Amino acid sequence: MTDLPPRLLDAPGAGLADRLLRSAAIDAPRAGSLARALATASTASTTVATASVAVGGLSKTVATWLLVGSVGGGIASGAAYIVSSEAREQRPAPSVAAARQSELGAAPRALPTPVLPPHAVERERMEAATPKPGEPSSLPGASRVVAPVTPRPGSVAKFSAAPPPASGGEAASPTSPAPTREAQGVQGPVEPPGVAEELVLIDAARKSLSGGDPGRTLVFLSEYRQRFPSGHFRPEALAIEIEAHVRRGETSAAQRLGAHFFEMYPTHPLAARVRAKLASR
Amino acid sequence: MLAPSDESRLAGIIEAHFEVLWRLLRRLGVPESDVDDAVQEVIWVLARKLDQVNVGSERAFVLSAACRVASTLRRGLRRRRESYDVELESFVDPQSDPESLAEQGRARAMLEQVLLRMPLELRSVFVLYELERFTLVEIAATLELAQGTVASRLRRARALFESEVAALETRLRPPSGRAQSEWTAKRGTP
Repeated sequence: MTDLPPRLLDAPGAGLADRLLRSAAIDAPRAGSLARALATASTASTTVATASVAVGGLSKTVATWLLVGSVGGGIASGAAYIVSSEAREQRPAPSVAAARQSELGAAPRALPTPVLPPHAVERERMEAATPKPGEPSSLPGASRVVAPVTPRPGSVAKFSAAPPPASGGEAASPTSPAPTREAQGVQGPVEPPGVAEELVLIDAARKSLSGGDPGRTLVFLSEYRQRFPSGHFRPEALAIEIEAHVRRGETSAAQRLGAHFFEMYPTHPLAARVRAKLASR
Repeated sequence: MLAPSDESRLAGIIEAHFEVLWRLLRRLGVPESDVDDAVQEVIWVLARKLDQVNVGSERAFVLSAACRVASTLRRGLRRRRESYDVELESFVDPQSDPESLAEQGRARAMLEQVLLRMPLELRSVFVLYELERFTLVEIAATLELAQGTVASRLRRARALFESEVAALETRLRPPSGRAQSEWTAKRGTP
């Protein structure tokens, strides 16, 4: 490593490479960027909620995802929490996710069973693409804290949680915007995916599962994996997927995914719930 | 809600590392118009994981989160990236010559297109070393990589950078002979 040459900018030369690299000197935050960042930090400080998920009591305590939207200063801020059902009184604002449920309920019910890729391959690809600095789920006893996010104005509203056609899911680019963006006449560049958008899909998956439609759950989760291969809620998505397979009587798939879950997230608060679900079959 | 001490710590981390965070996001390919939003994403990640950030490793955590956020954003912007070749051609139209690249903004735009040719894992190492002047040890700690991996990626990134720049120089070079005449005619100058 010591044989590495000096930095390119330190080497003599005035060629194009040097000129291009030096042009990066103009990179600097715009006026007001720091103030905006500090305002975000202040908002985050007052909005981030911590809610421990009771490992032993998950069979009775259903983790509930709340997507909280607030509008201030023209910028929509979404805040997401995982809270136990016993802690719902902590909900700071009406749930947008709950409002989304009516839309989800209006979606076509007869969805084809998703054609999922081989899970082992999919998982390997997903995990390999994901750096894991400070992976919270790997910390023993870590409480699960989900950060609020600040999507761009209207980004949550623009996003559609409607499941993709199962036959076209694999062919579609994972970064393709949901079809309804165009249907809604959304102009301009693709919105960067955010935690709020992740939560819409996770919430939809969870609710379809609790609503007795595990096939639909798998469609949502397939979409989640495609859109967010390094998403914040991969452990949760995997846990829900395992439960969906259990519900469908697909024991082999559930066991295979379960083994992967315990390998990847052995100390995750949901591990006990996954274990219990696998044992129930 | 964070404790007052955590709130103060969060603000302090942001203030201390804001500029490098902003620059890194920008240099990893986040469009300038989206960098502030990307910074906010990083802040939310930091806020929720603040209790897991050891004192002294704040910068590494922030920049590591920035790499992940940039990766996510770049995937969302892939359609823009797919138009790279068209964009690059627009930089090397016959009206251009190497001297015109003295204009820094234009050079910066070209740099971005060259950097976007690199896979993110190479780009992040290249940017941290060449532009942010991190040491290999610091990069290894930030990206949670072995130092040998960092060195290897840096070599590959440099090779890719140099080949891309060489290709760009070839395109920018004025043609000769008959092509020169046509090129001159297009420019409308004698």
